[in-house]
This record gives sequence, structure tokens and C-alpha cells, in this order.
Amino acid sequence: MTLDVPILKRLTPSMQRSIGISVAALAVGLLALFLGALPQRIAIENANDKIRLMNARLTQMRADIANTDQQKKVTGKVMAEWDALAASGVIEPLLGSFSMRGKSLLDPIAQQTGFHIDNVRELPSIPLQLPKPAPEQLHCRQPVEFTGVGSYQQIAEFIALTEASQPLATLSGLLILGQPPTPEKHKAIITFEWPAKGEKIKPETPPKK
Amino acid sequence: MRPPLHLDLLKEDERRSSSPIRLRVMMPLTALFLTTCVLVWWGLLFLRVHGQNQLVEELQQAVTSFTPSHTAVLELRAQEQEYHAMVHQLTLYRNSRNLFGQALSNLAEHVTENIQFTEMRIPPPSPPTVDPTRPSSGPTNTFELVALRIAGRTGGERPSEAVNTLLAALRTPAFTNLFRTAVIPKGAFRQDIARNPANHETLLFEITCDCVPRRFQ
Amino acid sequence: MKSAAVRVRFSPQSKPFTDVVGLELGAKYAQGVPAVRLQKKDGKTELVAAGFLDLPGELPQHSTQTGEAPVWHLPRPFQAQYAALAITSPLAFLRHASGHGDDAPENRQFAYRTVSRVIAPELPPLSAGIPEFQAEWAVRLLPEGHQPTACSLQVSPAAAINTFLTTPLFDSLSGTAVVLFVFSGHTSLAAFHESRLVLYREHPIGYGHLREAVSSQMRIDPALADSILEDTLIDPTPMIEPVLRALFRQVEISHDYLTRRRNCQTQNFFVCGLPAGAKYWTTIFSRMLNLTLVPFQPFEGIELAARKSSLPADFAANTPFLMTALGAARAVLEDV
Repeated sequence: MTLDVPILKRLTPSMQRSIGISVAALAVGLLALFLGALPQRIAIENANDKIRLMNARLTQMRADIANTDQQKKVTGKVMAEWDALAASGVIEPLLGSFSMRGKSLLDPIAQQTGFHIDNVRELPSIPLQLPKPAPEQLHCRQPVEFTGVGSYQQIAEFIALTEASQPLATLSGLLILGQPPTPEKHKAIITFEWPAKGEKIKPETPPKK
Repeated sequence: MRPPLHLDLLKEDERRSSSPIRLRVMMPLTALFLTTCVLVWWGLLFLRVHGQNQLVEELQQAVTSFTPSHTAVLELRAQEQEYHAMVHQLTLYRNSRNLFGQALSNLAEHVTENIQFTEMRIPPPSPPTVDPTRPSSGPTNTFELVALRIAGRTGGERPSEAVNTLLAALRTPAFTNLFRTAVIPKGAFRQDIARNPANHETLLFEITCDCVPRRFQ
Repeated sequence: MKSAAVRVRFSPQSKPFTDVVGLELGAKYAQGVPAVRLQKKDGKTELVAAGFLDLPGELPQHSTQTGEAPVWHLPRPFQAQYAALAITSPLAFLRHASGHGDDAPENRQFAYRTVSRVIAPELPPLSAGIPEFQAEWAVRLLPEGHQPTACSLQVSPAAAINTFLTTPLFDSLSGTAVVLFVFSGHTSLAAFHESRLVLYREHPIGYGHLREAVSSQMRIDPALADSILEDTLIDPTPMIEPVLRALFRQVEISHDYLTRRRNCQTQNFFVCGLPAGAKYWTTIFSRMLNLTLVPFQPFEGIELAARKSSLPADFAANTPFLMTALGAARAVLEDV
């Protein structure tokens, strides 16, 4: 459909005025629509989304806060479990030295069993497998090497008693060498490893509940 | 019928519509009505936006007021998860623990007089395999092989029988919870020529026991 | 570039008219404004209403007389969708355009609105015109938004011709026919040859002059003259013959012109619009020209509408007065 301009010119002034008013009104209407109403609609949709998200967040927050006491109990329980486990055998350096710690732990046992410890040496730590999700505070395997002399029986007892009294100590290395000059006394290099604190890292996937 | 003689003196602009609905009136009225509707709609939308903005503000204030308590709960939860993970890791370690003490003590009972151990060795663990691209993810293997090697010498009457008896003892239930296999590697049972070449009665032996692997699971 | 497809138009009517009321303005009949409403249904023209309407205002005869035009609201039976207006005025004209004489544009006292049409290649165009002030007054009578509104503005002589042009009788004629349309103040002569208008003349003698002759000689009111002309007791021939002779003389001249100059031998003569005394017209005509003059009824061949038509009780007697209104409506209905 084509608007023939000469036809417009032949229209009565009243019709021309009418057309002019109509076009002007429609122009205003279209401006109001595209510059006013439609952007407002978009703003409303955005606000609706925001409100929806905030409501969801608020609901979650309220639920979480309502669960505070329960969470405290759960966290306390896990902390207690950890404390017990750590106390049972996670070693910490003594005066900066794991060998000193190891010596302090096993000297009484050595004395008890008759195994004579000549030397204690800290060995390089070994990384420990990570669970999923991994903690931020990692632990590692800390070997400590004990070199000493004793009879086979004393050595065996030393190992057995250490395993019994140190719930987390693990025999990771052993060398018993017979000494020809003293057949009853053997040189033993016994390596026990304990769990120890390792590095602290940011886990790759933070745990979410 | 022939066409009529219609000499029409009426001008185009003098032709009017008999319809009460006059285009020149209805057209601007309709346009004004539509525009008014749009403007009213715009006004209503504006009020709605205003109301929603107020609601957003209220919600924001509520969120802000709850944030300290919520943060505390989240911290507790994070703590729980952290300790849980640490406990889990230590449990992996604990589950991997092999106990040698009792076995070593029992071993002495099965060593006859004509057997003398010269060496007993449990080699230290080899370094675990770590993903070089993700070194912080820990060892990729969940178990570690453990072996016990016993070297000794035997002599007297029926020395091989004594060693075999010892070997058989290592395969009994008293030891099989720790030793999966106990074998004398090929060539590991030989005469001790080094000490006394003239003495052909002393035999050297090695027994290799594959222990239960340490499973960090 | 203009599209050959639909073009926006702002004119209210673009399709054929099917419901038109013809109105004669300026007739000055005592009964009122002649009005005839016709409808076209299934190709047939039906008479819906006819009569005289009591409507205010008079057609101004001078530009200073226009003033505020009245607004006409027609009675419901006459509220067709559109109205065809026919102007009866001494200031209006219908003639073959010549460019000379009193009606020439340079000699007119008022601004005129004219229209011309070529009816035959060998004839000058037929031109119709009315003063602009009368046209403006007329078109303001029927306001927008009410039925009817004006769709046509004609001069009465042209409108009247259509009563004959649109009848079956006209279709059945062969050769040349001359029709006399008798008005109050003048008589139009229209000659048709092979269905084309080949001559138009106006003569300043109408039935008003016959009435005047009878009333003056018998010393009666002009309104009673029609009854004399219809009455068989009194023979009005001596009173009206002198008037008619003068008229028929002009007819004879036109007949002679047609025969000699246009090679049209006229076989049929008709007269239309006579309110009374048709038999005297035919007698005098026959005696004078030795030719037959046949009265023609303008509503001949028009059926009444299926629904109840609004017709006055004395409709048959008033059909001559409704001739112009009928012709105006028919001109619009048949103009496709």
C-alpha cells in the first residue's frame, strides 16, 4: 500500500489536520512505548529476577541460621573426633625437629624393651593421599629413622610395643644386620612414620553443602 | 441500459460520510486513545518499578542484617567440612597401617638352631606417584607395596629342610595376615663359599615375603 | 515509485451506490421539497419512498442571501445512505458550450461551478453550471455523520433527462426520439439518435405559463388551473393553444434541424412532466406538426420495493413534480 502524496494535498484542511494530529499522537505514543514503557518492562523483569534470587538467598540464610545449634553440635563432634585422632598420633616437631619428637616418644619404649637407640634421624616427608573433598590443611607421612642395637627379641618387642602404644606409628622401613663379633646383638635401623601436618592449600573445589 | 447523463458538480472535498463514525474524528481520537493507553501503561510500569526497587532495598537490608549470623553458620559448616576432610585423610593413613611387631616376634619361634638370620630388611617405600600437572592433588596411587626380605645361613644336617620348614611356617595362618607370599627367589639358596671355601655345609638363603600392601583407602 | 496496487484514498465512497434519495432544491412547490428514494437490489431499481418533504430554507438566488444554511434531517423513509441533489434555479444552466452569450464566463455576475461532457464528437460539449454560492449552500444542507450525505450535485434539466435515459422504453427505441421535459418556467427538448443525445434545447415556456394563461383568462386562482386542464367540461384549448403554438414552433424548428442538418428523421416524440392537460398537448401537437406526442410517465418501469414503500396517497397525480428528483437519483444509481 502506497501513500500517494498528491492525494494528501487534495484533502480538506480538516482531514489534513486530523492526519497530522494522528501522526503526532502516534509518534508520541511510539516514543513513550520504546523509550519508556518497554525499558521499564525490562527493568521490571530484571528486578523480578533479583527479587527472586534475594528471596531464595534469604530463605536459605534463615534456614541455615535456624540450624545454627545443630551445626554447632555437628561441628563440635567432628572437631572432637579430630582432636582425638590427632592426639592419638599426629606428631609435631619438638624444638623444630621431628627426630627430637620421635626420640622423645620412643625413648621410653626403647628403655623398656632394652633396645638401645644410638641415633635418630628425620627423613623427608612423604605426601599422603588426599580424600575428596580435600582439606585445606594437608597431612603427610613423616618418617623418623631410629638406629640402634639390640637382640632380635628386643628389636621385635620394641617394634611391637611402639605399634601398640603409638596408634598411628607405622613401621615403614627395617634393616636388621647381624654383627659377627656379637652374634646376640644386632644393628637395627628402624623407620617409623607418623602423620604430621603438611602444607596448607586452597582446595581446587571448595566443598559446598 | 445506457449510461445516464450524470453531470456532477459536487467537489471531492464536499463528499461526506454518512457514517457517524467519521474518519477525520475517529482517527485522531483512536491515536490519542492509544497514546494515552501507552502513557498510562508507562506510568503504571514506573510505579511498579518503584515498588520493586523498594522491595529490593528491603530484601537487601534483611540480607545484610542476617549476614553476620549466616557467616557464623557458614564458618561452622566450613570448619566441619575441613575437620571432616582431615579426619578422612588421617583415616586413609590409619587404614594403611601394617603391624609387624607380632609377626616378627612369632618369627623367632620358627627359627631353628641351624638357621641364623644375617639380615632382615623391609625396604623403605618408593616415592609415591604424583601428577606433575597437579602436584597438590597428592599421590595418585592408593596402595604401596611392602616386602620383607630375610637373608640368612643354615648348616648342619638337612639345612634345606630347615629353611623349607621356616618357609612353610611363613605360609601358615600365623603369618598370612601379614605375608601374602613367602618364596625363596631363584638362585637365592646357595653355598656360602665366601666365608669358608672349604666348608660346603653352610648354605645361604634368602626369603622374600610380599606383605599385604598398604592401602590408603 | 507508485505501486499499481491499492492506493490509499480518503474519499468516503468508492463503490457503486445502491441506496440514493433524489432531492430537488429550488422547486418552490407548495407541497414541499420533492424527494424520491431508490434502491438497487440484484440489478433491479426499486422505489422505496417518494413524496414532498417539509424542509426549512430556500435556495438563495443571490450571493448576499446565503447566510447560515439550514441543516436538513430527512424523515426515516427517506434516509438513504446518500442523496443526489438537483438544483432548479434560473441561474443554473445546461447547454451546449459555445463560449459566447450571457452565460459565458466573462459575462456572469457570480462565480460559477461548471462541468462539461462531450456527448457526440460532432457536437459541442454539453455544459452544466450553477452559481458557486448556490452549490455551497446546497452541500451544507446534509451534515456529515447523518444519513443521507450528498453524493451528487446536478442541474435539474440534466437530472430530468435521466428519467427517460434509464427506462426500458429508451432501450427499445430505434431511430430518433425527441423528448420534451416540461418544467414550471421552461421546457427542455432532448433529441436522441441511436441512444445518443444529439441535441439539447431549452425554451422559456413551461406549464406555469399555461396555468397563467388559464387563470388569467378564466380569472381563477392559478392553483385551480390544473383542474380546468384535466376537466372535460371546459375545453381550455383556445386558452392554451397560443402558448403551446409558440413552444411547438420551436420544437418544429428543432425537428427540422435534426432532419436536414443531422440527418435524423424523428419517429418518436415524448412529453414528460405535465401535471395536467396532457391530452391537449398531444392534440395541439398533432394538429400543428402532424406528429404524435406521447406522454411519458417518469416512474414507468420502476417497481415498488418489497418492503413497505412510503408513498403519498396522491402519488400518481404528483409524479410529474417528482420527475427531477427521480432523475437525479437514477443518474447516480445507474452511473457505474
